[in-house]
Amino acid sequence: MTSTRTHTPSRVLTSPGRSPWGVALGALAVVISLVWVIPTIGLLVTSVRTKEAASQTGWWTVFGEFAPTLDNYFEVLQGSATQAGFLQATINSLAIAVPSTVIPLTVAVFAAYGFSWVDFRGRDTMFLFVLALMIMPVHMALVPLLSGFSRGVSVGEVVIIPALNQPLLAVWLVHTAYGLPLAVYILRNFVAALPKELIDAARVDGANEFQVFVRIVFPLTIPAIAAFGIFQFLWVFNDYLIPVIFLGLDPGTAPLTVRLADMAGTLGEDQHLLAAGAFISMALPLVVFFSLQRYFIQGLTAGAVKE
Amino acid sequence: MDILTRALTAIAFGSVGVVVILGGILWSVERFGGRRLRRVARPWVFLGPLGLIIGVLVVLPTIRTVYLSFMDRAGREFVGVENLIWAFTSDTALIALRNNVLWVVVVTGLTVVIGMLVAIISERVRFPRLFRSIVFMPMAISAVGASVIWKLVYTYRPETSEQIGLFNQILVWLGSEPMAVFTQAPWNNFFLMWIMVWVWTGFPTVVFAAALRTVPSELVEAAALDGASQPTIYFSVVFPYIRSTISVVIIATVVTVLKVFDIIRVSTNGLYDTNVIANEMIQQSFRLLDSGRGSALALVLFLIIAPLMWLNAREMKAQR
Repeated sequence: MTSTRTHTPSRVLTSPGRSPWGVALGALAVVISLVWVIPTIGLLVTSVRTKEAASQTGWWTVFGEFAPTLDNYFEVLQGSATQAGFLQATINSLAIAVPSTVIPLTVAVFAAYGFSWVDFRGRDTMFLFVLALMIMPVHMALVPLLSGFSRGVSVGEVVIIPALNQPLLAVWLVHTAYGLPLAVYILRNFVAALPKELIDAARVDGANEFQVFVRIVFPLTIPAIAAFGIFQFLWVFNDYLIPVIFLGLDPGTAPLTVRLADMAGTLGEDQHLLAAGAFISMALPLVVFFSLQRYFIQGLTAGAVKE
Repeated sequence: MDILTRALTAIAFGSVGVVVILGGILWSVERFGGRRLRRVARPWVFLGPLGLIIGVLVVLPTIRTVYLSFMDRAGREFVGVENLIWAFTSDTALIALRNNVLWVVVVTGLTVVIGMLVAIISERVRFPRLFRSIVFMPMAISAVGASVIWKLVYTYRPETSEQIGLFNQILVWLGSEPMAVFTQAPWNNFFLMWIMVWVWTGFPTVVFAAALRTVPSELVEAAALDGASQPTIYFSVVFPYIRSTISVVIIATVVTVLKVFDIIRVSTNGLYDTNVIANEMIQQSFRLLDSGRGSALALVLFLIIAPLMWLNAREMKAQR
């Protein structure tokens, strides 16, 4: 993460070929791009068509005479008497995603400092254990977690952990627990690479660990915080499994993914509304992705590429 | 407005809360603790929160799930390996297992191969970043959103009426009959897998693109001087050099595929022989309320993933 050693790619492998080989690869690039882009274009076009048009003809027939309408978006955002609107679902998604990003980040910055600059026995073993959990399936804990949060944990008659009837808090904590290993990995690599002299100098100057941590380590760690933060935010914003289990369809808490999946099940034929809803659910992630692509990709590829 | 206020309060509470609690503990220990206390407390202050969260929310529930997999549907009576036997012999579970094997082989194979192709090609085309961004875009949206996109593409109308899904329209243009994509087993599985390929290929692409840039150009040029053809250079110099990156990508892909749930849930809900373990696990646990069978399926999933967790941790540690 700190300084990726890159080489100028060798000319041997990058010369844009005029050979048949080069032309074939270029053609393949065009085909792949089309397959990857066209479905999304279809969604966009469908989302601005009327109900009649969308249910009778394909979206590719519109070119020529096309009168786009934003009515579908207004209808979906607002919702109806029986269906929660996507505006509320967007707010719910943010109420889940922001704390589910900030909490693991904070815990991980502390842990990264501990793993890098505090000596204690079993440090390496613990770090290896956390790394192993990076790909731990949350499925393995769902049943006990759901009952634990709603009924508490007791052995016999003795209550060990009381019930916590705060579904939103439960979702934050579960996302925190399963996002932490990656956060710790990314941040630890970064914090461990900070110059030791810098930290020693501050300690010699009489700074305590709190001051070293807040004034030196935290500001220098911002790039890694951004990389993990953006990755985790998009991950949580796009997640469907955890909210559908812990929050269900309650309009007051259900996020965009849950709302959209429900709509796909019940409104299978209203493609104009489904398309508008899907696009609303994609809008924020796409903005975040296109404006902060570099950080997102850093978070995603952390650890996979030798540095 | 009321909703907005509530959401903002929740966000502030959760986000500021954690900073205040952890920062407060550290500050008080450093401010008021003696030299000895500070030294003893330090590992706990920095790693205690991590340990507590992982312990209570990951380790304990995992142990509990193992226990539940040997109990009856309500988690009261011990039933031995009955649930595990069910997980390997019942028709439902066997179809799910079969599909998972197919998913792992097909999706991992396609995404890794296409991802490598895109990474390689993107170094030679005029707009490398644009090309990679196009392939990567689906990674930024939810699997639910991606499934809806493809649901529209796959829409089926009987032969007599006009097609409104692009896939069936193309079939009709090519002179064949439209196809009910989601209901025709076993082919429906491959169309669902394709959604995942479309979503996930961006991951291998960007990782491989970054890894290709770490291959020293001297190595490549030396091979070229020796007269090696381009495919030979890739297979005997480039791929071996980025071998560990390739294995990390394969592990991450296999695990993600094994956990696939949203695509199935939104498209077919596991009907028409398209079920997978993760979806059946959710169905058993939360729809049919059989925590024994649900936990047994979760355990199967975990046992498949466990060796990969070990391999992955080792690769990651070696690379840091």
